[in-house]
Amino acid sequence: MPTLKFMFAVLTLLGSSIAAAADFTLEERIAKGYELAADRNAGNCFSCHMAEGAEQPGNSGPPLIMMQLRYPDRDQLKAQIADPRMRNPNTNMPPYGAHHILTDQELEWMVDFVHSL
Amino acid sequence: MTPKFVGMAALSLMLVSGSVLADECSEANALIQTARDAYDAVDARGFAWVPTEAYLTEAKADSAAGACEQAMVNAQRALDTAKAAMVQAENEATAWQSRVPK
Amino acid sequence: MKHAVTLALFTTLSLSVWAGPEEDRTAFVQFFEKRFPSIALEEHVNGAYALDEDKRKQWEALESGFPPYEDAVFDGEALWDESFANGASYSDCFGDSPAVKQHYPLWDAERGGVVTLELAINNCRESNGEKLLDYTDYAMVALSAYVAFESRGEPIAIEVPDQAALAAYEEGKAFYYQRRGQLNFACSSCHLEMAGNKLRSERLSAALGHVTHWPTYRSKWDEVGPLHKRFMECNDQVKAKAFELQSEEYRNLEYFLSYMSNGLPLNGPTTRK
Repeated sequence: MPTLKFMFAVLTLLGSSIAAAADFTLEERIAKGYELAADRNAGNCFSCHMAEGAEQPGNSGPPLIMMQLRYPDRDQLKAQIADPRMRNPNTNMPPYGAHHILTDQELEWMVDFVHSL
Repeated sequence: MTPKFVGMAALSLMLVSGSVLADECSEANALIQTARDAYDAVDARGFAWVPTEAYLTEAKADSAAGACEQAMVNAQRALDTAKAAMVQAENEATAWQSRVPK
Repeated sequence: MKHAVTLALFTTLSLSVWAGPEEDRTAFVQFFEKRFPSIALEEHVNGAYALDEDKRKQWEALESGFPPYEDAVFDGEALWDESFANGASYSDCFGDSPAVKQHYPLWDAERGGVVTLELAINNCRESNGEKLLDYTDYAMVALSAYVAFESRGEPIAIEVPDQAALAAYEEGKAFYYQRRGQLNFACSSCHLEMAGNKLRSERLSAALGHVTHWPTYRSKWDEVGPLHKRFMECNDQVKAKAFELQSEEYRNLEYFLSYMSNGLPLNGPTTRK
């Protein structure tokens, strides 16, 4: 039987996570993801991928276009960025999640950005 | 208030606050030590990562400044990256052979 | 009969041991021939400039003027000709001609290790009672720049003479193909598998010919620096903790990488971005 104190704690937690998610609009999250993608010390995605808004992109990876068509499931795109070795063990793309290059929050913003392309 | 009383009070206050400070980041300090050991182990195999050392330095500075929560965050990052580096070291003991042109 | 079988087995075993590096080199060279069919093998001594016409023109202009490594070569010559306190000089260690770079790194059976040109310079100083030079010291860079300049055109001639040498070669080879660092790249990821691709606007150079032109003036460094400094930079770029200049890891790596370029003409010092 949950105590009043416990229920209050749950409510507070729920409230704060809703508040956190509501802190940023999708546009803002996409903008944050873009910044991470462009940052040479974070995603540095444009080193290898051509994408809209990328300055002097490289060509070692496939262009980031039609991403929602290629990844209808957002979770699959997140898994691919977190550890691309799952689909291709010989890939040269860094495992952004498995190697803790990005935090889970940053990964979420990155996915929002890449999925918007 | 006698000077003796003031001295006693000051002394006990120092003792109490001292023990509180020493205790304060003990959890973080233990985690820093665990992360340090994990880093040394992977460094001995030649597979240490640059960020692990940076996180360890930050965690120690946080702990020294009494920012225990932040020290925990950075120590955990140090430990996570050191563990991932060890997985890499273990894989690469043999995985490299598949990349040699035949 | 039994002896013949044993002998045959023994021959096969020892053959495979000696054939190892040469087989590796042949496959390595063929990889780049296949990847860049229109580029002559010797062209790879020019690194990324063999693969990028526009950048090659800018580079050639720089090389034909007063290249920024010129002072290092002149200063190195003066240092080379100086006598040590005991009256001996570098020529007592290296012979009359300073054109010796093609033989380095070499396997030193007595010391049981790979000896690079820089290490040989320090070994020479040590045996003549001179102070060792730091590997970042300008005098060391200048001396090796002079030897490199004098050795221009000489084909690389690295040897793996025995089992112990082979073990060092194998260490260097493993290092070359092992993924390292948080970004999870091997040397071979960028300079073999992705060679010729662009990282942002920079062309990734081929591993073949990587060792022919050191020390090199690198614009990013704004000075002439050794190959091992570039190794450190590569490790750092993939967020791997780098090793020391002239560490055993880097000497073995240089040994393997130089063997892969056997036969290519030396063309150092040079300039790179």
